[in-house]
Amino acid sequence: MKNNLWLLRRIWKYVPGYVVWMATEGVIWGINHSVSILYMEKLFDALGMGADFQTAASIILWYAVYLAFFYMFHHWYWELYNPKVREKLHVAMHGELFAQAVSMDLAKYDDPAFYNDFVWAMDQAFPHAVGLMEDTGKLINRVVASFTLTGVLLSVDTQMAAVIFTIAAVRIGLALLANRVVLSRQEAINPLERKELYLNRVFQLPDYAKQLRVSHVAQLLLGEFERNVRQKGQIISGYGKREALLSFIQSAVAVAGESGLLILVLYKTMVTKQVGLGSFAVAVYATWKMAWLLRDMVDRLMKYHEHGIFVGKMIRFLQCQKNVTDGTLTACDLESLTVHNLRFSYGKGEACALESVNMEIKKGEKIAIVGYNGAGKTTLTKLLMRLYDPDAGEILYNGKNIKEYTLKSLRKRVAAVFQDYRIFACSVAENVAGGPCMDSQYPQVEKALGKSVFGECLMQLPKGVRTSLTREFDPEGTQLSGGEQQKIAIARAFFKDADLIILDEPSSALDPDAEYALNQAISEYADQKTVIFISHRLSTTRNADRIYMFEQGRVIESGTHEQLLEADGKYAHMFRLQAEKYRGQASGQ
Amino acid sequence: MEQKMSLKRTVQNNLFMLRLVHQSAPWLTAASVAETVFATLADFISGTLLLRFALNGISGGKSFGQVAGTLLLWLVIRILSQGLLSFYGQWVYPVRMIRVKRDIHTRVYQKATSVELGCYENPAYYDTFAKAVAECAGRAEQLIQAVKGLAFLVVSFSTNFALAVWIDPVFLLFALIPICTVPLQARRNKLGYEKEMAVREENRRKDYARRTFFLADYAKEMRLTDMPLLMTQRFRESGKKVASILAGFGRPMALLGYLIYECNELLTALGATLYAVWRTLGVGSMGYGDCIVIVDAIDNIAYSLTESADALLKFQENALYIENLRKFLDYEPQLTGGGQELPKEGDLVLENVSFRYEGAHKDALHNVSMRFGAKEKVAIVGHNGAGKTTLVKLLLRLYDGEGHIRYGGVDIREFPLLDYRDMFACVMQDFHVFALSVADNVMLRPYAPDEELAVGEALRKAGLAGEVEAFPEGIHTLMTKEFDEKGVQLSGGGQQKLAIAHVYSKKNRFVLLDEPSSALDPIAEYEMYGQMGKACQDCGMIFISHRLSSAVMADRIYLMEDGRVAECGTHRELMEKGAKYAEMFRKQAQNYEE
Repeated sequence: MKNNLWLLRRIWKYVPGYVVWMATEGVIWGINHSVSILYMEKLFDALGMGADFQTAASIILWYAVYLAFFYMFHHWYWELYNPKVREKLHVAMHGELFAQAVSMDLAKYDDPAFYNDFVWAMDQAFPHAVGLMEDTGKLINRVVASFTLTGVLLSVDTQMAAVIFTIAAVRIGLALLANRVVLSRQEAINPLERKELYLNRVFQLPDYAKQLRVSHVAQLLLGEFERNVRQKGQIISGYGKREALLSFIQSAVAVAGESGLLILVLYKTMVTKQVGLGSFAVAVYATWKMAWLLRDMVDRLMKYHEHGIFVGKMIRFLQCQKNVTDGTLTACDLESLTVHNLRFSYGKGEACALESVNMEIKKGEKIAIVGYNGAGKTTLTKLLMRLYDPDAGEILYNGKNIKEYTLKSLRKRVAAVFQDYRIFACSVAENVAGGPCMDSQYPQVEKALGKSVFGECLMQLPKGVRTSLTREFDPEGTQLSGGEQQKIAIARAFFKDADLIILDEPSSALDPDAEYALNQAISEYADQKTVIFISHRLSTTRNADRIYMFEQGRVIESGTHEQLLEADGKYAHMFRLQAEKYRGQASGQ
Repeated sequence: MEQKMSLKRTVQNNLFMLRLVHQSAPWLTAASVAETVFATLADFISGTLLLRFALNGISGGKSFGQVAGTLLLWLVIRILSQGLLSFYGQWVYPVRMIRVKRDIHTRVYQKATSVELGCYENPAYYDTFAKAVAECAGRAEQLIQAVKGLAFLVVSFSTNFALAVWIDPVFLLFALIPICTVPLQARRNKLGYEKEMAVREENRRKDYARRTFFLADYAKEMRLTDMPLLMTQRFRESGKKVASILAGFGRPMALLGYLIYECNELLTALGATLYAVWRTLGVGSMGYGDCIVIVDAIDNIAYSLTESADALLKFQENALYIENLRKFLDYEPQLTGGGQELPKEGDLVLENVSFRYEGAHKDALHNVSMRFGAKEKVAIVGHNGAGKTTLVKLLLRLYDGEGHIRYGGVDIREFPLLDYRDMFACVMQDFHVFALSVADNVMLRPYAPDEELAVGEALRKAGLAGEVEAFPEGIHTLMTKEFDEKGVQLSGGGQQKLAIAHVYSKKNRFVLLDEPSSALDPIAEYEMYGQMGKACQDCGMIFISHRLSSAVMADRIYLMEDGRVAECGTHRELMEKGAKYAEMFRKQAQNYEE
């Protein structure tokens, strides 16, 4: 309940009009239920007393006039106001969610429990907000209606009203009990449904299509699906019996209650003659309506429970602790970067990804980080950009801990090409600029593309840098190959004009020609810049000012290519292994 | 949903789904309809007939005992029947429904693996397919709900209507009024559809922007660039467009909706009431009980007529979605196998093979002729986009091209598809790990417990045995964190080793490696090629790489360029020739000179 109130307050902040009109609509509908009963009472009384036709007809006509206005409001609200205000809420709400999403620690993505909640919050925030609003509107409607109906019933007979309330209490109790069963069944089924969704994805996504065709894994997956469904069937069948029994009790109580009341009113009409004919009919209708209102009210309240659980996730997401927090200093031009006794692991209990790492980097140096897979190379660069913070040790930028700088100014100084770079479904220019791009910036974009050896490709694009990438939204968009995409990602780093450029295996999707050209370009362009290359192709890193060799999170060797070869350690071994296959073959001997 | 569907097709589609339901759970639909009819009739009897009986009893001078007795008897019948309804609705139906969903899903999944790969690249087809997979099972349930909804309306309408006509046939006239609103309703539906279409594109844009904020893939870029700014901007712009579309459609739709309501509720319901009251009070020819009951009955009639438009619309909506499923299930895969038995052994030979992706302007492969000997190691090298991966897809018959690919002299289209593909073990460039156990990922097929040794052996050869032994449940450990926090996540290189382990898990005639070492470090790469060479002594090996160092060992190298074979020969021959291959090789090698 507290959660739901929180969400309502949020909605109020975004679009107060929606809340006001939702409540108004609820009240108006609530009153409408009573107006229709009152109309019936008036009409039936007129019938029961044998009034003349004109009186009865005028009742009907007044009701018609009332309905004409009522429906006018109803249609205005639902067809005109509601869709518009929902859209407004959608945009406003996502503004906040987006801001939170990008400022959240990257580490949160590695925490599956949190990530699930996060995706859920992003996906379901809006439907639940609207659901909550609508359920609240309906609830107001039901409450107002049952109050006015109670008035009508009390005016007919107090004893009867008392009976109605007793029955209502029993029914609400039963409904709550039934709801508990439903919830626990849902909980038992959830993991199975998750699995089902995964299997669904595997069969649907193109990513898996080839493997499904060239191996027999489909049989394996279908077997898994079959087992999953069987388990689900057992759970549903097990709960089904209980639910059937509960549902039977519920409906038996409802039927007995309604019929009992009918007999009671009948008794009062026929035997004790306390209730008139018109009131008899009204009492019967009011009872039915009341029963329906109660049932619906219980349903809505159940939904509150559901909304509440969800809103909890949303609150957790919006209020999640940030460990990577902003400093106050503005980072100036890079002079030196020092890594001191760095230790880091991706989570409690996980092996250390980095341990006692020390490095010293000066302005303009070209640094190479080499090592096997999982040696911690990529992790180190993530720490340099403060995508994560170290567990121990520190990174000094111009002699000061990077935590003291504002994230924005620090990240402005760094440009990175990730191993798993992404291309966005917008124009080439926007992709290179990494954000909004004005026409006046196009020459810069083209220059950056030229440096990343994309120039030739660019000329073939129909609309130059304005061409959309991917066909997501533009049927004339261009689908780039892996290597071409990587060039765009590299151009992004060139465009940014940062002090420190980090290239994480930038040439893995490039063919040898392009790799060669790229290496030339980078060394040429990055004359004044500090560059960190990460690679396991040692041919690209041999010209570096200093090479750090990583193994299991530690720096095991460092020095220039020549020094390392002379030292004849692991680097030398690795280099020879790669060179072996080229050496002696080049001449064709 | 691109266009409106003809009535015939709408009916056919709904019947198609009902047949599917019937196949896995005969009588489920019929039983659900019977349940609804029964429940609706019971409501009609309690709500209308008995009320009339009671009211007429009061005015007709029946004794309280008589009336109450009848009511009590009905009460008992109803409670008993409720037991039956609860039993059906809460137990029988859900259990049956699971079976229905299972069968539909299984059908769809099987189909999904049998259609050719090209379908995934054709956006129109993929759209149909994705929707069919996502929607199919839910639609079965929705269709049954729609049928039940319709049954309710039909029963409610006909009982109330019969009663009204029985009391006074003039009421029939009032029922005609709502029929006059049908054109209005049709116009409104059309507007609603147009609105949906207009909004859809903008919503897709909004959704894309939203995704970039929460998908892990984009997280790093979103933190280091100004993309969040651009994406928020896009989101807002689309939001504004949606709002203006909604405003444009809102007015006429509100007006139409209002008119329809006024006709049904005011003219029909209140008109009939007025007439009934006139007959009772004005003329005095109608009983008091009848008058009250008829007001309620007319209300019900008007309600069922108003709702019937929506109820029928549901069928139309269902039909649109079922259309996807139907198209998908009815689709005949273009790529089928023949009945020829595979020869014991043979070479794979390409003769003038050309291939063009749908919608592409030029051939991905053009007049390619190649030979892969039964026990040869053949390397395919070349720049990005030269057609190497396309070639692999053709070899695996994921696509058919022009020209001939022969195995042992027979066109590969003559062989049963699955038998043919079974000859190969492949490591794809874009290999994915499944959320199954390590052993499942290695075998990629159902296997007997005694084959577990083979799994261990394959992992050992792939250099992954040590890592897997350290896992909590060894080869039975679940991969990925999809379902289990304890599931293991391998690094990129580890995943590639896992894919390579699959090659060792079976007997192959050809091993196909598409950049198998891109995520491996040099030592692992070196070991992998050594190990693979040993394992492929008795079979053919085809590997794609743009690291030329690995091609040196090949029996033959094909250099591809622009979808053609530019050079072919052994490393030595190509180096002597001194053309493109030699140039490429030198470029790569020069950095390795000490």
